[in-house]
Amino acid sequence: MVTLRRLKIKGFRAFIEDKEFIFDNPMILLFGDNGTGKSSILNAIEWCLFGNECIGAKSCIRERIDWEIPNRILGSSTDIIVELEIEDESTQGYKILRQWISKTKDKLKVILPDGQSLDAQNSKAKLAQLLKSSFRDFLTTVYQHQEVIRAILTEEPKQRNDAIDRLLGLSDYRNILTGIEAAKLKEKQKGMGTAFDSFKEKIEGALGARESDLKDKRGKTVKKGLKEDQLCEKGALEIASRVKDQLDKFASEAGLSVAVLQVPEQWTHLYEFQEIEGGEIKRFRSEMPDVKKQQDLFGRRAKITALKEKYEQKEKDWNSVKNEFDVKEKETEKLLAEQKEVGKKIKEKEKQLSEANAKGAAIKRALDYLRLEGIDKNICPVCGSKQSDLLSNLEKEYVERYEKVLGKIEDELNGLKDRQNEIKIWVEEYDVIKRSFEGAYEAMRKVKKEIGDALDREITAKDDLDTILSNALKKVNKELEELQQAVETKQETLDGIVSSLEKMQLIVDILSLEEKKKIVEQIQQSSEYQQMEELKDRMAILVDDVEKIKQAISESSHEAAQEKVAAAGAAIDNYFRRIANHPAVTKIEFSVRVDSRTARNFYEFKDQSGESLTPTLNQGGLNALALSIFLGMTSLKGATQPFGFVMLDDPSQSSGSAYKEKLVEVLDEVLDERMVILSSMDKELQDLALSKITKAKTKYIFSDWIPERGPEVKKE
Amino acid sequence: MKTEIYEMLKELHDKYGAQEFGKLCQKFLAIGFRKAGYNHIVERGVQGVDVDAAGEKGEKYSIEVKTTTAKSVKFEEKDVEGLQKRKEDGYQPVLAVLRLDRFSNWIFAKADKIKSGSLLIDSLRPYRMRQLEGCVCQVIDKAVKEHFDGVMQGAQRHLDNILRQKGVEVDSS
Repeated sequence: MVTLRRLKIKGFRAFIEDKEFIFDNPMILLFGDNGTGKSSILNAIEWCLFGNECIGAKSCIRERIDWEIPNRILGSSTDIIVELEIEDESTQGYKILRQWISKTKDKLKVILPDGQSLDAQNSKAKLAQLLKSSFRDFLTTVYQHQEVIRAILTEEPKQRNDAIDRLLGLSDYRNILTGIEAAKLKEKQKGMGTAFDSFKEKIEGALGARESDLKDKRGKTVKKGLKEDQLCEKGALEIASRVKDQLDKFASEAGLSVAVLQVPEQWTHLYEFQEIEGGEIKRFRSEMPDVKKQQDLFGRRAKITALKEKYEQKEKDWNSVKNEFDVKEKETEKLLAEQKEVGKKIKEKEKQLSEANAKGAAIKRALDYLRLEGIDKNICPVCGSKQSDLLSNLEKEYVERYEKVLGKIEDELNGLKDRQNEIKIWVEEYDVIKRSFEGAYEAMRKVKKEIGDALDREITAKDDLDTILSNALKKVNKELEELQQAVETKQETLDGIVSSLEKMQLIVDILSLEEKKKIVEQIQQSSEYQQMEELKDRMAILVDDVEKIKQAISESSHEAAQEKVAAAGAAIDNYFRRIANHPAVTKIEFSVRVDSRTARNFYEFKDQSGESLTPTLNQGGLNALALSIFLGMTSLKGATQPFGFVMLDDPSQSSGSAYKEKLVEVLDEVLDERMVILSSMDKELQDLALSKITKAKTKYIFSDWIPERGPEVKKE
Repeated sequence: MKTEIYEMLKELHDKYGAQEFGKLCQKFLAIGFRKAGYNHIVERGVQGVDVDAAGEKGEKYSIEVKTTTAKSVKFEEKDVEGLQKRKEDGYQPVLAVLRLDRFSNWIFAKADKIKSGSLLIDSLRPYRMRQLEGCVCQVIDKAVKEHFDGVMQGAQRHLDNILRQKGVEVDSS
């Protein structure tokens, strides 16, 4: 166990001047009012041992968040050094020096008993070896920091159990279990398995698709009449060879050129072979002479048929227009003669009408004159002769002689004009028919010329084009019929070759799919795959081993915890009943069990009735319980703790006299096992400590702190 | 396992069903051990541990055979007890598992380290007997290939005859 010998501080927090503290007795008392630097002594020990770990949020102590190491007056103008002399189990002395560099950096030096000085990593390693403990352990087992100790009781079960494990010196077990869990080996193994399975699924998917295609292709081979023994490279190459021979022969017979192509030696080149030969077959189908001739004849037949239809239509048009034209032509001749006569008659009638109109007009004007007012109605306005009843006689004559005659002439004239108009319309219609007739004639002429060109002969008026065209069609059809047989035979030959090519292609497809299947299979047989398998095995073994280790650690931790709980239980019960003097609690049962879920220690504090203790305790009761657990653990004999001292900072806060008296009694017992450094401003506790503690004491009195100098410290 | 062997086994499984398939695999395994040079083999069709195999060098295995198409097998208490009895006679208890899967192979695991219950096949990995697997798995596959047609015709009886011909003690009483 590590114990303290001496502390030297310079520029650390409340201190400006160099100060030295000798821990030469089991009980070290640091007395003084608030703000005189007592706590800085405890902090200096802590900082010297753990450096920046005890600063900031990571310390889990609220007041440490903006904690300052250098004295504010000095700042960083001078060296800030804490030097601590400690002693190990074999009373070998070590000097630990920590120098503040910055908020995040410090310099550590460890001087060994033989005077050798260690720096940097070596000093850190040596210190860790000496302390065998983390800062968290220190906080819960050595430095009775109220906030931290209270957390043992009030925090979540995990943190509480964690803290009690530390109190019991079982951190190593818990840390190993935490480390094992943090490694997340099972998750990694699962992830590995999932990735592996996903890889396998992909391969299986690929294989499944190939197999489905293969099944499909194999089904087709049966339909195509291929035999099982043909479904191989040899089978495919034999077919390819036959295809080549057949195509060469066909080309030769048909007078066609053929691509020079060798039958491949390996099936893998048959795709190219199939492509070239397939192209050749396509070419042969269209370039065979018979086919070309057939196509020409088809064209000729189509042309003659079209001409025949055209001729028939034009002839029909011609006949229809010609009849109409013939009828109209004769009638028109007569009408043109009549048109001349009607013209003459119209002229005559117009003359008569003009004359009658002139005489009538004169009478009319005389009548109009005579009807005027004041005019003698019996005197002729033309000759001046007097006639009785001249007006009435003239009116009578005008009506009878002129109005009637004029009306008759006008009727006759109108009749003549109507007739003239009828003839004009007829002639116009005749002209239209005449133009149609002429058009039909021209169309007939043209179609006859086309027929002549198509049949390559001269067409005369004597020719019966219907018959000529029908005969020409018959001739073409006959030729086509003869050709069809030959072409069909050749196409059938080519169809047969295509069918062979398809069979060959089918075999090639099957071979290709089997090849691909083999590649996928090879993955499974590959050394990489086997390595992955072995890796999975090794991972499984590792996880299994780690689980066993975890189980063993859990069991060991539990056994050790049980042992210590049994050993410290009585002391905790004793201390709590004495310090708290709680009327309702006559006994504390401190027990431990294994948490089946986490495999870790689970601690419980119960009262004499087996009820959980913490929910019933008030603030003072919780403080008392926390202190009892802390001190109960320190009372354990043997090397359960790496530290041979405990530090209590103002443990009597808001406590009564009885509590303080009991606390001092308990501390006197703790001093049997550990050095105690007690810091207090409580006069009553100070007096009690001085009068009741039966072990040798060293007292430091802190007073008169001023910023420029720090505190006055006096050793008594 | 090669796809060819997988396909044969799958065909047997599809034809005979899971239970009969398990028996066939047990017999294939016994033939495999014989082929691998184990000179004393007992194959039990009805009661007790499925196969005992002893070699000239003194190696003795008592094998409980499980086949499945799933990812787990049931290792029952009676299996554990049976193997334990054989262990007392000096046999190394072995759990031989075949998952009928394209990517699976026979797994031979030290059964005395395994607790009864429903076991994920992957959880047997820490107990695998790689060396034994290396010696026997390939010859079992060969046996499947060799006797596939016969088994398709004659099922268990065919393999029983083969086993007897090879001097394997077949206990089907």
